Amino acid sequence: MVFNSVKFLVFFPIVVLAYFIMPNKVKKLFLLVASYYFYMCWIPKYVVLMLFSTISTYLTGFLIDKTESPKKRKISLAINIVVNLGILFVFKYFNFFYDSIKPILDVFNINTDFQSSLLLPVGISFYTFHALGYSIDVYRKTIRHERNFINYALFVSFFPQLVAGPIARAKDLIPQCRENHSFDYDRTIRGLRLILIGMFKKVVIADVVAVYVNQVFNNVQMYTGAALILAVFLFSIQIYCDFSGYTDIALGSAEILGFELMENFKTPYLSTSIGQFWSRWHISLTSWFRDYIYIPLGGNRKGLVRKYINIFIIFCLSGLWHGAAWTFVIWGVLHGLFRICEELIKQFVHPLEFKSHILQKFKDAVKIIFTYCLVCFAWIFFRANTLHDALYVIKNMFSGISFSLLKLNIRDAVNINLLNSGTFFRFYIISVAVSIMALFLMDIYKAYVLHNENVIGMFDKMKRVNRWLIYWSFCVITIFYFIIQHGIFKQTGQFIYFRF
Amino acid sequence: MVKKLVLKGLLFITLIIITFAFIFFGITKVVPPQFTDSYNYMINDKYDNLIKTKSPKIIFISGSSGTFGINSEMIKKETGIDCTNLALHAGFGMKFQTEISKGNISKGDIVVISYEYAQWSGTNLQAELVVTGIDNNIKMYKYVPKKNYIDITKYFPTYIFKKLDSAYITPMKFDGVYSRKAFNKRGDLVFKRSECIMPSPISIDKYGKILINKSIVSDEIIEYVNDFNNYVKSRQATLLVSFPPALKDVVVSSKNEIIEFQSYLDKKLDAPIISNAEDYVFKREYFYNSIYHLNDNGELKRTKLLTRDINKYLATIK
Repeated sequence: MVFNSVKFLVFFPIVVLAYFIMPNKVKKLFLLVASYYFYMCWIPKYVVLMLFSTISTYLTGFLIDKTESPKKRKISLAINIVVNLGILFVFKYFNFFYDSIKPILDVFNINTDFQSSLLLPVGISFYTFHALGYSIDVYRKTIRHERNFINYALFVSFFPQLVAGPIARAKDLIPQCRENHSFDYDRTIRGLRLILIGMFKKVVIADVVAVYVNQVFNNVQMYTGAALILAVFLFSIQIYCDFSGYTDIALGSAEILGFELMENFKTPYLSTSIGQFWSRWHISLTSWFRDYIYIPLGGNRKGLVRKYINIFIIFCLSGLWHGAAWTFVIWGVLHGLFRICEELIKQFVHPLEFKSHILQKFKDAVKIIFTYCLVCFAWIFFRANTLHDALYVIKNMFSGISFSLLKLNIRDAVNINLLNSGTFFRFYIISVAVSIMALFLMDIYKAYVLHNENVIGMFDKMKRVNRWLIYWSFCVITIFYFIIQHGIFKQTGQFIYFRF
Repeated sequence: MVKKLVLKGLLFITLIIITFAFIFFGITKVVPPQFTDSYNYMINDKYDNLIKTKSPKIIFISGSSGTFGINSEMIKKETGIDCTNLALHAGFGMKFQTEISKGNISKGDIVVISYEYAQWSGTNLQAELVVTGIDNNIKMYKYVPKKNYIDITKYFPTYIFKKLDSAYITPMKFDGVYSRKAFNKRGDLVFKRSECIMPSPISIDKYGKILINKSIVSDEIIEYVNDFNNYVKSRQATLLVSFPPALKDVVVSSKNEIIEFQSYLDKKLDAPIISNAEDYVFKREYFYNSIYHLNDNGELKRTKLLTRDINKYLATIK
């Protein structure tokens, strides 16, 4: 079940209604059952893996909490990490690992055929990290072991954040799982606004630009110059709206139920450096890697060289976390290198400061554009189907840039999906342009007026008529594009991060 | 506070519904109709003929095998009963085509259904045909089966863009046998079809095969036809079952299978079967451009056969 489906639009109100009218003593159990049902709407048998991960980390927490012996605590944690990462390895990385070492095995005439036919369970990267984070926190004594299994299981499987985050921290979510929440009007309105914005980002922006992006990236050899640049730019928009849209819906759904999840995006494309980008993009994952891998590796406490190595490791792992393919690893490596270069520049180059406010703003604008270009460059590897395609895009994106050719390329790329209709083409271009502009303005407002507080706050400052006008227009265009999605584009509308 | 939320929610939902209703009426009624010359649009003319034709009348329901194979004027002459031919395209779904006959079934009427054989397995409605066929004649939507509402909704944006393209950019043109011009005022196809234009031998891969076997019959369709029979009876009319013409070269079933199919239908259906399926298996020379579409000679032959079957039935009940 995906958020942008009719099934979820039926499921969610029923769950909300039932949750608030249910007696307090069964509320948590009900939410847990609903979360498991939500997960089982994909491949039901894979719920066993999530249950296994939940039980194993719960028992680990129990064992660690029970003993004061550092050795026993360490062993319990180590076993738990090996078991959970082992599951991740088998289901997600085995074929990648095997395909990578096969050439070496062939050199030594070792003929093997160990390709796995196991499907990647949805959300495995997310709930595994939830569970591991919990057991590490118990080991570090940041939190006590949660004795109530229902509370703990709900923490791992809470459906709004189950399949694509945000990766919640036990100290934030478990206390909320312990409470019984009651209906709150303001919270419900906030939640509904977030869901509407999330749906708009996903259905009207991400899935619509995907029509062009997919056509180009799935047939790169047919395109050069501006067509490739446009595809890269639109992919940056697609992945941002797809993922942040999902997060908005997750946060909104949780808010309605009385839960507060962490924000995962804070206008990342307005970052002035790669370091700042990663403090604003997929915040829950970045902070997880920082707290559970970077800091244990020594962080920046063991000298500059070690710091750069640690940064490099983190970004390689981040790339690998996103997907079992060399393109994702290279994407991660690029970010690691960008980050290290930034550190080196900070270390050895004196920053340029202007007394003039305007010049300072201009400098920030240049930094924002430069950072965005670096991020887009790395996205090429993230999106390309193969390394060969990624290299083709890089090699050809600046050759033969012509705007008349670009118009032709756009038509060619999307026409077949737009029924070869002139009216639809115009509608498509206008709606993409207006939506991206709206997104840009919303992010500017969020960054510079709200100082990265939740953008939902801006609705409270509006007149009621204007508020309802925005709700109405977002809703109408989202529903219209939702119908187009299924009737014309025939896309599944799956979220990109579901693949991870 | 719950009440406040519910009221606001209902108000908002109402606003959204009104918006989409405006879009629907705007496109169907305000933008001039663009499909009026199309083959599909004939469904409206045929429906109007049904409404105008006085009882007692014969109402013929089928897919395009009935469009390309029935001369209603000849049926009227041979039986002495006026005939209105609702047959148009199996892609409308036989349920939709059958439902529109309910627009005017009265005492003494004879309703004849002659579904193409594949339709006995289940009738799939092609939203494009229905939406473009109905175009601005929105009262016809009441005959669309409920289970197809989602298909119609999914197709509607395509209809919007195609219609706007035709109205304001490049008007659509319809010609030849698949246009409204190919029909006369009675709703019969009068486009000249003097010979078979399919290649010989016929390629089953390209033109399809015809399976006449009891395994193709679905319980859902049997139940639907029996329900329809009850409706027709309640209107003091009669439902009869006949068979479409089928190209002999592509009929892959044996004589025994065809006989078994017919007996199976006879057992399951409450309405009488008045025709012998085998009589309607014709040679290639009677066909036009598909395995169900007859040429002028074929149409004559089939109409004579059907008239014979109807008259035979009428004689038995007198």
